[in-house]
Amino acid sequence: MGNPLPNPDQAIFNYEAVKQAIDTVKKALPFLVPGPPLIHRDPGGKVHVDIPLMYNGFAIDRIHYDPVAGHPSPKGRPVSVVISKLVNRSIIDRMAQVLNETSVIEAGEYRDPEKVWIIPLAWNNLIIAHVKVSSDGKHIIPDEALTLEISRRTL
Amino acid sequence: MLLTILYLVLLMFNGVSFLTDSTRYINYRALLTLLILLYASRGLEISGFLNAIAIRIISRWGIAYRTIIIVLVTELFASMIIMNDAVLFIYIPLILSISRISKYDKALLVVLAVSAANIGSSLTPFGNPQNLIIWIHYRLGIDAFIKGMLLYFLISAGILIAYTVFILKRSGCRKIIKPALPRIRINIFLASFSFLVFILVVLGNYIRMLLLVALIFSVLGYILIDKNILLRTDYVLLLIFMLMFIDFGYLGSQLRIPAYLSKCQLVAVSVVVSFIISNVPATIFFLKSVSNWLPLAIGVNLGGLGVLTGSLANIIGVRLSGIGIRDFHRYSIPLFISVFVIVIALCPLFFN
Repeated sequence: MGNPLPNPDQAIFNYEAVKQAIDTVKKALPFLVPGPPLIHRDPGGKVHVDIPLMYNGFAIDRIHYDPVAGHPSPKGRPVSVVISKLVNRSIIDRMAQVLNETSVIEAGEYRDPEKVWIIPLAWNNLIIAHVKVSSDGKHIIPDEALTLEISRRTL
Repeated sequence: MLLTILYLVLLMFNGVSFLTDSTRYINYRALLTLLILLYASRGLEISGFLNAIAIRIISRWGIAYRTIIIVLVTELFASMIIMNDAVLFIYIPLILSISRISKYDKALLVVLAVSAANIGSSLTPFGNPQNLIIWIHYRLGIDAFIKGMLLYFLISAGILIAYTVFILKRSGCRKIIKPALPRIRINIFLASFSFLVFILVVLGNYIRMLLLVALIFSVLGYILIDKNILLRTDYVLLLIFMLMFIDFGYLGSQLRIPAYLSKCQLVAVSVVVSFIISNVPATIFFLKSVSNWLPLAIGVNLGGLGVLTGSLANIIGVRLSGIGIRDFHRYSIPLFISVFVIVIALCPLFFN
C-alpha cells in the first residue's frame, strides 16, 4: 500500500504565508486608530468598555479597556467596574497613545474554518488584539459585525 | 428623548385625539425610502468598495496635503450617492489614520471630512435625509433637484477646497510619506447588489411599485448575502424620524412662516432654525409653509455646516473621532461663514 493521498486543503497550505501576514499587519499598524468606545452597562451598575480597533474605515477587533487603570486589559479579560464618569475623548486619546506603543507579535495562529491567519498585537507584554489576515497573507479581514455595531451605536 | 418629551407635551395640549391625528404628519414614503437607503448604504460601506479606493489613493499619492484634497474630492462624490452618515463611517477613521501619520491636526481633518460629506450630499436627493424628505414632499424629479442645487454645491465645494488648501499650506507642508498600505478584502457581490438596490430606489421615484419591490428585494438579498446588515441597522433611527415628522410637522402647521419673506431671507431663516433644532427637523418644520423647495433645500444644507447641532453628520464626526466641541467649531465656523457670506451675496443667482 502506498501513502494515502494528502488532504487537499493541507496539500495547498502555505506555511510561508504567515510571514507575509505578519508583514501585512506591520504595514497596517501605523494606520490603526481607536474607534468610539463601546460602553456596556450591566443592571448592577458595572461598566464594561471596549475600544474598536479601526483600519481604513473598518473595525478589525475590539480591545478591552480598563477605565480604572486607564489602559487596555489583555484579551480574554474584559473589565467590569463601577465608575462614576467616563470621558470618551480621554479614552480615545489614551488609546491613540497606546497604539503608538503597540507592536506586532511575529507569530500567527491559523484558523482553518475561516481560512485566516490571526496575528496578535501586543502592548506592554499583553496581547490586546488580533488582526485577521487572509490565508495568502495579503489582505486584512475586517470584522463586519463590529463595524456595523459601531455605526448603529454612534447614530 | 427630547423628541419624546415634545411629543408628550403636544399630546397634553391636544388631548388623546392627537394620538391618531398626529400620524398624518408622517411621510411613510420618505421613511420607506430612508430604510432601503440605509440598507444599501450599509451594504456599500461593508463591501469595502470605498475603502479600496481610499487605499489606492494613499498608496499612489503618498500622504501630503494634496492627498487630503483628493480624499475630500472622492468623499464629495461618494456622499452624493451614499447617505452622508455612512460615508463618514468610512472617511473619519481614514482621515484619523492620515492625521496619525502626517501629524496634521486631527480636529481640522475631521471638520474637513464632515464638511465634505455635508456638501457632497447636498447635490442629490439621496445624499442626506433632509434632501430625501424635500425631494419626496415636493414630488421633484432627480434632474430638477440636482439642477436646482448645482450652483450651491459648486460654490460650497469650491470654498471647501480653497479653505483646505489655504489652511493646510499655512500649517506647513509635511514630508510626503508613501506607505504600502495593505488591502482590505472587497465583497464585490455585496457592492454590486447594494448598487442595484440603490438604482431600484431611484427608479421607485418614477414607478411607485418599485419602492416596494426594492424593499422586498433588499431584505431577501441581504438575508442571503449578509444578514448582519438587516440585524444591525438602526431601526430606532426610523422611530426618531417618525417622531420628528409628528412633532415638527405639527409645530410647522401651527407656526407658519410669513409669506412676505423673500427667497434669500428664507435661506437665512432656515439656516438659523437648522442651527437651533438641526437640519432634518428644520426641514420638516418648514415643509407645510414653504411652497418653494429650493431656498429651503439650500438653507437646511447650509445650516448643516458650522454648528455641531446643525446636522447629525457633525455629531457622528465628533463621536467617531473623539475631538472636542470647541476644536470642531474652531475650524467649522470660519468655513461656514465663508460659504454663508458668498451664498447670501450671490443669492439672487440661485433663483433665476
